[in-house]
Amino acid sequence: MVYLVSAIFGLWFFLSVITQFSNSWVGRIRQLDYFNLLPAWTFFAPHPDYYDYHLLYRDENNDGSMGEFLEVEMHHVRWYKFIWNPSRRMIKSLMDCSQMALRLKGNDILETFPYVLLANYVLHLPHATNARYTQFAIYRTEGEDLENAKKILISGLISLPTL
Amino acid sequence: MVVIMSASDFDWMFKFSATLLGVGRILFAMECIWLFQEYGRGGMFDWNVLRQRSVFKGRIIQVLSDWVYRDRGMKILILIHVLIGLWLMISFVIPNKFVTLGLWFAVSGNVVIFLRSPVGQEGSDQMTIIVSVALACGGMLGKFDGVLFVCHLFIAGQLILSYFVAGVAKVFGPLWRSGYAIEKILSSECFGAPRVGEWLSSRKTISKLICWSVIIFECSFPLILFLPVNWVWTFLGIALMFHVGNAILMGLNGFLWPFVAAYPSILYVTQGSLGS
Repeated sequence: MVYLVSAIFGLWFFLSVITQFSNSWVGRIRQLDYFNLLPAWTFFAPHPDYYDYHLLYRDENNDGSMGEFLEVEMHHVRWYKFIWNPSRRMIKSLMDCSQMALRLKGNDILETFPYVLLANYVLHLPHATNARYTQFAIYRTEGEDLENAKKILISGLISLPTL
Repeated sequence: MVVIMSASDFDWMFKFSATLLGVGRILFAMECIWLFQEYGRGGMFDWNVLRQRSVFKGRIIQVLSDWVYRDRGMKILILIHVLIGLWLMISFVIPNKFVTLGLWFAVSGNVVIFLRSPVGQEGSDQMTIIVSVALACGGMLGKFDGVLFVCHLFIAGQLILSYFVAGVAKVFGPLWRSGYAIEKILSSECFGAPRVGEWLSSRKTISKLICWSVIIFECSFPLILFLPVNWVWTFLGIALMFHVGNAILMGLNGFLWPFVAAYPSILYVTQGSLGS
């Protein structure tokens, strides 16, 4: 029995070690890790992700022009976050989707589930009356430097359901 | 100094780890309850989108997964997590076989819920599964020679790997080497404490000291396997403070429970074997 247990945990540990590196076949292994058993222990390293990610959206105006971008407030961080901080899951989701978007180029992103997830999320937010289309964007900023915000992704026009 | 660990010490470690995992599960379940609308239509974890992934292809799988992951199924799943968490939190007053059963339920619950969505997860979720599986295995098969040691060795190995990999990765990061990383991370709103970040930005020496302290600690963590018991406790104490600091400054409160739950395995591997 000890040999069986050793083999299983040994394999798991071996895969955990090799998937700490980044290359194409590690990526393929991770794609098969549906149960999230292979950890990624490179927290904030080697390049720490110190950016803030922002999800914005805008609707089409009556004259066909696009309105101003509105930010979806996700950063509900409070002083008691060391005990209770559920919004980090939302922020992490946005970060995950953003990082997937950064890895994909062109039209590859359109049918990926992060894009569809965000599009679906934005579709269900409040929209201007009679707007036919909406559009979302992800920007990232560094600290309070909003002027140098970097665009991660701007979606195409997404049809809003008609009532 | 040779330390002989008694059977009651190991028993205490097992229940201690299980209790901490229980706290982690309760916290996770409460987060799911708080974010429940995000699991519904139009939410960030909308099942109607997530079910399109290739892992859920196939008619039978789709029917089963729809039953598990839609509204009522998610409520049941979350309730199960609450109950499992409570069950594990009373580990010290129930027999080990029930603790082991609770751990297996925790593993099942974790795997089912993590399968639902690959976004929004973090390293604490992965360590939770690792510790839960290995502890449950040890609890169930510990009567076979050597199995308990293998299970604890696996947990200890993953814990050491987590710190060591994080430390080595930082060595390759220019921002970490130059001492700017902590200041920049803490300056963010998402996972930082902007006031602390601002305070550090005008104190480069302190910022650099903190960066290199983290790097040195993490890179040297594998040495814990060869140190005397006093130094083992010191390392674990520093690691605990590291996670408490992350929780306070960065809001990463989920890491504390599964990582500290793994610490007894270090003691088992380093101290328990000396007594055999």
